[in-house]
Amino acid sequence: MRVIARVAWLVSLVAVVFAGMARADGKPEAVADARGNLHVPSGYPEVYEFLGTWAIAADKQVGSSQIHNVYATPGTIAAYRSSGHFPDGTVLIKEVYETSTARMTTGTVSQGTDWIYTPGYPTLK
Amino acid sequence: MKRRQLFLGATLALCGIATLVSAQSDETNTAPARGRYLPEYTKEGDLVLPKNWRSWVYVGSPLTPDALNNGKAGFPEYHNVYIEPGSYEIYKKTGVFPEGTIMFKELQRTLPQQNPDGSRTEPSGRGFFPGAFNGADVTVKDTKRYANTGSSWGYYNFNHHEPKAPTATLKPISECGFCHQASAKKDEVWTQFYPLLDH
Repeated sequence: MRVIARVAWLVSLVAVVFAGMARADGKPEAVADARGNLHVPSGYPEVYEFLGTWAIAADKQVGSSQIHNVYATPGTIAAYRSSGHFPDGTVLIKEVYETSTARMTTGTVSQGTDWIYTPGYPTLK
Repeated sequence: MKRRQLFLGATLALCGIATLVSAQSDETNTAPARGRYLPEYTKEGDLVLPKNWRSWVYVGSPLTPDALNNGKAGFPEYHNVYIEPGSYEIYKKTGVFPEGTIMFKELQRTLPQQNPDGSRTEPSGRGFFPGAFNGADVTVKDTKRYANTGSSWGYYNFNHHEPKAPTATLKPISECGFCHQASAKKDEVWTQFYPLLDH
């Protein structure tokens, strides 16, 4: 019994070390201050994981009018896929780009041009 | 005896965790990037599919759905483009893509269309929504290795469907590189589409 308890303790210690490494490696900045106000963490495109993108269809022409890129704190994808839940402290950031649509060598392309809006999202549970 | 049991138990627990960690990274390709990841080649000289690109620095997603291209776009999907983070750090300081830079373009189809322009309607509105992954293209900068192709970059295709190929053979410049040379803004990279790299 004692052996099991000690092994369990060791496992939890190792798990903490692994989690700590992931955080230290990604260096995500805190998004909330002491009063609970949120801000967009600086440098997030360089350390957050890209989660996905979708484009709003344009009303009066072909192509799309905006592209939304969604990012998550480092480690979110692996954690979600293993547990089925977003861990406490997960931050999602949705970037909104105006787009331009043009005929390129690969076909008619819509791509983001101007970065116009980046709201921070509250902690998910 | 107790000490031996403890040692055995701890070893097994560590192995279990190590397996779990590597299984996760294989599945999602999101293990955190450490140091700089440089291209790996087979002994035949083919490029090995880079690891953990989904935790690299994402730079942007041009979109060329079939519905905007007479039903047959060259790349009928989102092109999610990533740059290897160690190379990105150097580029950010110097403005030059260093030797060994890897750009990873993961292709992702759009969900089936509901409207004539190829879009569909979801709770957030009418638009183009990402669906299944659909293969990948990768470029590697190496001015010596690719010198005799006429380019500083090597161009590779890891399938235009899933699963992605484990390795890929260098493409002749007439298939990919010529277009990058003609129209990409900086050093055969389409920096004009990626605000993070356009400086």
